[in-house]
Amino acid sequence: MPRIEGKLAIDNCIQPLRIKRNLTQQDLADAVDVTRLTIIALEKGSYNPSLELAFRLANFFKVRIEDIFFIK
Amino acid sequence: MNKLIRFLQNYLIIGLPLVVTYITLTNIGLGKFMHDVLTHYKFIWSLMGFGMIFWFVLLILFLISLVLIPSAREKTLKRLANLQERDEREQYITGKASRTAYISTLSLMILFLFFSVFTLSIYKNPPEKSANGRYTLSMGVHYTMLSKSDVHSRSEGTALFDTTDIFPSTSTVILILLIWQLLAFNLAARREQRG
Repeated sequence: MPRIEGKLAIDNCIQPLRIKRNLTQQDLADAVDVTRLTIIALEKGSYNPSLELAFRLANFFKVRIEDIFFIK
Repeated sequence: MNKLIRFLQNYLIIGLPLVVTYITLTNIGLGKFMHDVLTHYKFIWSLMGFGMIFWFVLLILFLISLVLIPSAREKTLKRLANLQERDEREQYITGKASRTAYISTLSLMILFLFFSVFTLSIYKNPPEKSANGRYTLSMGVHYTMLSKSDVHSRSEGTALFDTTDIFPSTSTVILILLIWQLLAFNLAARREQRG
């Protein structure tokens, strides 16, 4: 089985998806039930969400998780 | 129970300015003057005194409730510690900051424990015993469970330095630990929030 060592650099495309839908950070935060600061941290890439929040974001944008989050 | 805790909280907060005023006036000597000389203030002054006693009794009850009742602790100390857990990221930050605060407080407590049991003294020997040298250095380990005993070197000379003289009082140690923990938690949480 391959071993993955070190911390993975995970990036996301939440900001483009949000802008594409004409949403403010607060709108998205309300939709997925988090604070606006969390959306800011997600867009900056300084916070990796839980699997549950990742699913909520994917459901909201109607895309797959791997379409939002990917390894750099 | 929650209503009782809320009543205690509100009473303590509202009564605090009165208690501070009463204590300040008493300490500057105005309390006795108001009680003895101004006869029509006597009743108000006595009432304030009873109010203060009642305030302290409720304060004791409130502090005990913080230790014994988890919901009271959650509501009150969450505000004091500036805990914010509105979503998973804030819970994560709280966890990381708690870890930092716990580890750093533990290291401080170990240091305090060491300094409280370890004694180091430097004594200047009296002239009649100076044949063994002018100074005596004494080191020891002393642990008392119930109260701080008067531990000093058995040397008969003049103490130049003694660690038992510089170790802070129990209240100071507790205050330092309290401030340390609050600062460590808040600084770590702020650092985490900045990413």
